[in-house]
Amino acid sequence: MDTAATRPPDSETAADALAAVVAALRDELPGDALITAEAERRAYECDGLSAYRQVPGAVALPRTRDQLLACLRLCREHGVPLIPRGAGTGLSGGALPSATGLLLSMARFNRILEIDSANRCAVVQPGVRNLAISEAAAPQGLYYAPDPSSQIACSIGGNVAENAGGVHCLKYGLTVHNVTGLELVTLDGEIIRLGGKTLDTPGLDLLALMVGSEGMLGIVTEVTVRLLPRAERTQVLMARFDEVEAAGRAVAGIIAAGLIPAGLEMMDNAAIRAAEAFVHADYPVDAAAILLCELDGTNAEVSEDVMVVRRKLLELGATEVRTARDDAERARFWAGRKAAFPAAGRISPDYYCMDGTIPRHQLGTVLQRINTLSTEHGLGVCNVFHAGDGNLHPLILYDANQPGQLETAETFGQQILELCVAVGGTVTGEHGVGVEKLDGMCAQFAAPELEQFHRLRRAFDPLGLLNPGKAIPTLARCAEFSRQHIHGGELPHPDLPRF
Amino acid sequence: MNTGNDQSSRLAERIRVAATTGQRLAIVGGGSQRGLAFPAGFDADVQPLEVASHHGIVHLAPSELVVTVRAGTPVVELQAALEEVGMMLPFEPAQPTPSSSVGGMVALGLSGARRPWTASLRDAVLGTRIVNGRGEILRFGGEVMKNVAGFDVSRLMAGSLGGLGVLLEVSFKLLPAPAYQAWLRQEMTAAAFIEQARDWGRSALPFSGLAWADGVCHIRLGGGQEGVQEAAERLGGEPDREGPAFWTRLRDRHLPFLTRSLPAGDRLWRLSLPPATAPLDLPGEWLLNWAGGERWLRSSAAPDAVRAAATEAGGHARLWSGDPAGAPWLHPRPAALLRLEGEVRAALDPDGVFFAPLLPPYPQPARRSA
Repeated sequence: MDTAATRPPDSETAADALAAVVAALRDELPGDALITAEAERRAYECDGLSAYRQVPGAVALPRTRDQLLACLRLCREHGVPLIPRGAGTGLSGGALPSATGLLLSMARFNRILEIDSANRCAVVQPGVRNLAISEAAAPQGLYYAPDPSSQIACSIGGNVAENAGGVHCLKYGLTVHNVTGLELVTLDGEIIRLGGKTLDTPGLDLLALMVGSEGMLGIVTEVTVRLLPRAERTQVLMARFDEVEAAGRAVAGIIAAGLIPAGLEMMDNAAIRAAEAFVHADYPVDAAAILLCELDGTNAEVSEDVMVVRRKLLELGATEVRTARDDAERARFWAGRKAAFPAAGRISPDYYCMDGTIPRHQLGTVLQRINTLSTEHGLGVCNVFHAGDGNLHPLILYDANQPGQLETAETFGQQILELCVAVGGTVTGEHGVGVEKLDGMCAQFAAPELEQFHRLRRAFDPLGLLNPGKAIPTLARCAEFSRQHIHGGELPHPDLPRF
Repeated sequence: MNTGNDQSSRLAERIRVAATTGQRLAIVGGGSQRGLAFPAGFDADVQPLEVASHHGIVHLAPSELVVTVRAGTPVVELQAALEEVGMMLPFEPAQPTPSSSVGGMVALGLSGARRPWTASLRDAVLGTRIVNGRGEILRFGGEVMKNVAGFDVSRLMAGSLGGLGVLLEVSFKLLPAPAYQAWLRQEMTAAAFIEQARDWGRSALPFSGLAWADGVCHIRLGGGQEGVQEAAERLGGEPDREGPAFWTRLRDRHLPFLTRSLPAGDRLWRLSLPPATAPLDLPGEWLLNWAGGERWLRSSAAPDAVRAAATEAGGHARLWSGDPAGAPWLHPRPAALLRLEGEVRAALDPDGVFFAPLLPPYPQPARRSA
C-alpha cells in the first residue's frame, strides 16, 4: 500500500530487471549516455549529504526527450526504480541511488532556451545551473532571485525538486514563487505542460504541487522562471549584539517598522569565530551574535531604509552597527556568512548541516536548547540563521573517524528537528526531506496526512517507481519510529507547548 | 485571539456521512461569488455545505508576518484586523461584498493588482487545515515562511474551486502595509501602455499597480515616502485624485467596465497573458491590469476565437460572464493534463463528494490503484 517498489511483471529479480533495462537502453542511448562500469557509477553514489552512499545499479544521461522517454518506458515495463538527479548538490539525500535502480542524471538537459526580457522570464532546461540563468540575463539588467548557497553548481531542475531557497527568500521568495511554468514527463510517458509565461494557470495548481516534490511525481524537462530587474543600489548593515535574544528582537523590530529587507541573516558566536578564522570578514569575534541586513531598491529607497534600520538596530540593543562603505566591504560582510559551511568544515573534520524552520519569536528558546543538547552530546554546534524567515541551520561538528560520533550527531540532529516541530516549525525549510528526514516527517505529520501524500503520489505514479523511499515515510516506518521515541507515553520536549 | 466559532468536527462529520451515503455537497462560503465556481448552479442532487459559520481569526502575529484564519471569516473582517496592526495580505484580494469569505477567496485563487510585484494568492498561502473527501481533518504546511516537508497540498488548495476538500483554516504570509502611497495617471493608448509597462518593468521601482482603462494609464506606487516620491517624479504624469477609488473598484470588480450589463451575444472574458503581449486582434473593449498580464475583454467574438488568440499568445482565457454557448468556462487544457487533474482530485476526494463542475471529471477507475 505504501511506497514499496512494485514487483516486476514476471519472476525477474530486481537485478535481472535492471539488466534487461540496461540491455535495451544500449539500443536507445548513445554509448556515452549509459554508465555501467562500477568505477564510473561510483561517482554518483551520493549527493551533497555524503553520509548516505549507495552505488547506483546503472546511470543514464539522456540528452533528448526521446532518450528520456525510452528510459521511462523501459523502467516502467520492467518495474525498475528511477532516481532522478540534478547537479547532486542536495543536502538531504534526495538523489541517493538504488542498487537495483536506474539513476537518471538530467545534467545534459543543459540549454538556456530563451531569455525573454520583455516578459522578464527565462525558459531553460533542468540541467542549467542556477547561477547561469542570472549570468545569461545580466546583459538585460535582470536576474533570477533564489540563490541557494550552492548556486554556482546546483541545477534549476534540482531547485524545483527541492523548492530551494537562499538568503533572499523573505523578500523574493523560494523556488515555488519564482517558477511560472514547467514541462514534465510522467512515468506513463505523458508530456505535461503546466503554466508558462503567465502569472497564473487555469485549473488545479499542479505547478505548486510539483515544486518541492523531490522527483517523485514526474521528471521536469523544462522550466520557466521569472526574472527580476537588478536593484539600482544594494547596501548591507552589520550589527553586533551581546546577547542572542536582543538580535532576535531586533529582527522583529525591523519588520515591525514596515521593512522587508532583501536579506536578514544571523550568526551566533561559534559561527562568527569559524567564519572569521576562515575568510577574515572583519566580524566582531567576541559578539554573541551578528545580524547582516541587506537593503535594496532605488537610491532614494535605500537611503531612507538604511536610516530606519540603523536606528532600529541601535534602539533594540545592537552595540555596534556598521554600514558597508563600498562594494568591496559589502562583499566581505557577505563572504563570512556564505563561507559559514566550509568554515565549519575547517574547524571540525565533519559537520552535519540541519535545516529546521521555527517561528522567529522562539529563537531564544531554541538556541538555548540546542546549546544544552550540544553539552549533553559533547559535540560542538555553530548556528547560522535566515533570521528573516525563521530558517535555522545548526551545523553539528563531529568526527566520523571517532567511533559513535556520526550516530551521536544524527541523534542530536533528530532532536533539533523534533524541537523545531514542537515549537510550531518544520523539519525542513529548504533542503528537502530526501532520506535524511524521513523520521522527522513522522514527528511532523499524522498517519492520515502521510497517507494523503501517498495517494497524491499514486495519482502521478501508480507504480511507485519514481524515486521510491524518499520524502514521504511509510506508515510502517513511522509506527516503528514512534515505538522507539515515545517512552512511557512521553513525547520529546514534554514541557513545550504543542502546536 | 482565537475567538469565533470552530465547526471543524461538524463539517468533518457531515462529509463522512456524505461519503458513505453517496451524497454530493457544494462548499459555500459567503456566497457572494458562487457563480464563479458554480456558474450553472447546483445539480438537483447536490446539497450546499455551509462554511460561513466556521469563522474567526485563530492567530495573528504581525512580527512573524503571519495570520491564521478560519475559512468562513469574511475577507473584510480579516482585512480590518490586519489594517489595525499595519499589515496586509500581499495579493490584494477582492472583497466584492461584506460576506465574501476567506475560504471562497482561496478556493477561487484570484490575485489582485499587486500580483506582479509582491505575490499571488497561492504564493502567500503558508499552511492549511482541510477536510478531504473521506472526512479526515488534515494539516499541511504551517505558519512558517519556509517549509518543504511533504507535498505542497496547501498551495494546491488555492484555486481548487471547492473540488478537493473543505478549507478549515488558512495561514497566510503577510506584508507590512506601505507607509506611503502615490497615485499617478497618464493618458495613452492600450498599445502604448503595454510598451511602457514593459520598459518600466525593467527598472526596480516601487510599483504596486499598473493598470489601463479608458485611455488612461493608472500608476500606483507604495513604500517609504522618499522612495515613492522620487519614483513618482521619475515616472511623470499627473497626480490621480481618483486613484484610491479606482484601485478599490478594480480590486472588488466594481468598475463599470466589469459590472454594466452585456449586450446580447457579448461576453466578458478574463485573459491571462505574458504581460508584454501586443494588443490581441479581437473586437471589443479592454481593461488591462498587472502591467498587461491580466486583461479583461468585453467582446462579441466567438469563444473559440478568444481562446485561439489567448493560446496563440501563450496565455489562457476564462469566460467570466455572458452566454457560455457550449464553451467551457475555464480555458481548455490538453487531455493528458485533464486526466492528471482528475487523478489528483480523486486522490483527495475518492468518492466524489464535492461538487465542482469546473474541474475535470474523474478518470476511469481502471487506472486507479487504490
